[in-house]
Amino acid sequence: MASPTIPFSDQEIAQQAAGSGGRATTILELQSGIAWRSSLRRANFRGARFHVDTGVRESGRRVVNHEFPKRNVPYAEDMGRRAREFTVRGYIIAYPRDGSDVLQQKNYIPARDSLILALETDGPASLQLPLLGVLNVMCTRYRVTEEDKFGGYCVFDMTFTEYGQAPATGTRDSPAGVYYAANNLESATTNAVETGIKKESEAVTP
Amino acid sequence: MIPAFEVSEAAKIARLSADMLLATSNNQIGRAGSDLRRACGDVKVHAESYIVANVIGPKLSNCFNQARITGATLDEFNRIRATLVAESAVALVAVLIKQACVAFSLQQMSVVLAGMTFTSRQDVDFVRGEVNVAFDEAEEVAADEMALTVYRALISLHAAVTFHLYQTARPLPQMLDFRFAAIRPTLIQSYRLYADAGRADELREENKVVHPAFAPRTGRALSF
Repeated sequence: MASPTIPFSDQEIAQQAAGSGGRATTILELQSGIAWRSSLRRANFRGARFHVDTGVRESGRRVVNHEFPKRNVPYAEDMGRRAREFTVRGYIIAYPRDGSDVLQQKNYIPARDSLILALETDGPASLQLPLLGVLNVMCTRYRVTEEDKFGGYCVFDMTFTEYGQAPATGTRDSPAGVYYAANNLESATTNAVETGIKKESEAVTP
Repeated sequence: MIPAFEVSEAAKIARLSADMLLATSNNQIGRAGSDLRRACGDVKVHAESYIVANVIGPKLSNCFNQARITGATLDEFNRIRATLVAESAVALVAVLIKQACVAFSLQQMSVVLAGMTFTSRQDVDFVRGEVNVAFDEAEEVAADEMALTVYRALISLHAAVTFHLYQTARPLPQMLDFRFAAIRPTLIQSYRLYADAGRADELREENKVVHPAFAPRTGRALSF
């Protein structure tokens, strides 16, 4: 029995799905697969390319839990968004023949070294992952693994954290910083009054 | 619907704020002055209806803005703030209005500060002390009431004001004490201190010298 050929373009996938009488037999033949496949991007960090095995994004809210004596209901205080963290497992592999792409080379060492250099260079840089968009991050840690039994293949375990914004940005011009913060206080106070009066009127309405 | 006694207590605080804002500047002339009188008069007359319609926040904010545009000073806003802090409020709506007016006072104090010109570091330090006390009180109340957004906004504004005062104070001269051996004219004192007799009037004003030909031996002068 001949093994099924793997389609590469959206058109090929659509044709294969149509050829099987509209009945999908593998995940590659699903019509729904076309939508997300079209948004796939090639991964790179600071311009150094690599293949991606897994990409993980983590974040959430920073919460301080208050638990009060003699009270059943706690209070989870919101202290802001947690910094986004990305854990990526990438790899670089030797190809059987040289192609035009930097990753499609018989010698994988230059691609590996350029990624190592990018990860060790000072300052933040853009990280593009296949499906998570472009992010401005700092590399906090990486690990390259090369195994004897897998010649021509190396694995990168990389951890990135969101670069964000330095606290002083935008406040160098100090009067402008004061005007901006004053406007924020005005709108926060006005909203708090509106919300408070609304709650109070709803609470005492019979 | 909010009970009438709560509305009445809150309206009393709104009227008190409007009255104090009307008393801020003696120079309430022209368009700015009439805008302030109109805004404050409107709040005084319609305070209850605005509270029931839940539009009192923007109305009060407008009154504070108009007072600043008319020329209310840092001290005047600080006095309004201190009076409001001392005012007792029991009903929730009254407490809300009171805290909002305190926050609006702090907002206007900060904006006035951002436009002020200081001559010495001592002036900046004095103002910083006053502003820190004012912000600390408001921050504590906001934290106790778990008003997260207001608390965060207060902290940000406090930080921005502190940074601005620090930036303002850095290039300014310090005020130092001097002592000469004998009574001399301010012209000679100025020449001795700065190698420039042209700053004699500055010394006379700073030390409140009665006659510039006989300036006291001791006094205060800018370090450069």
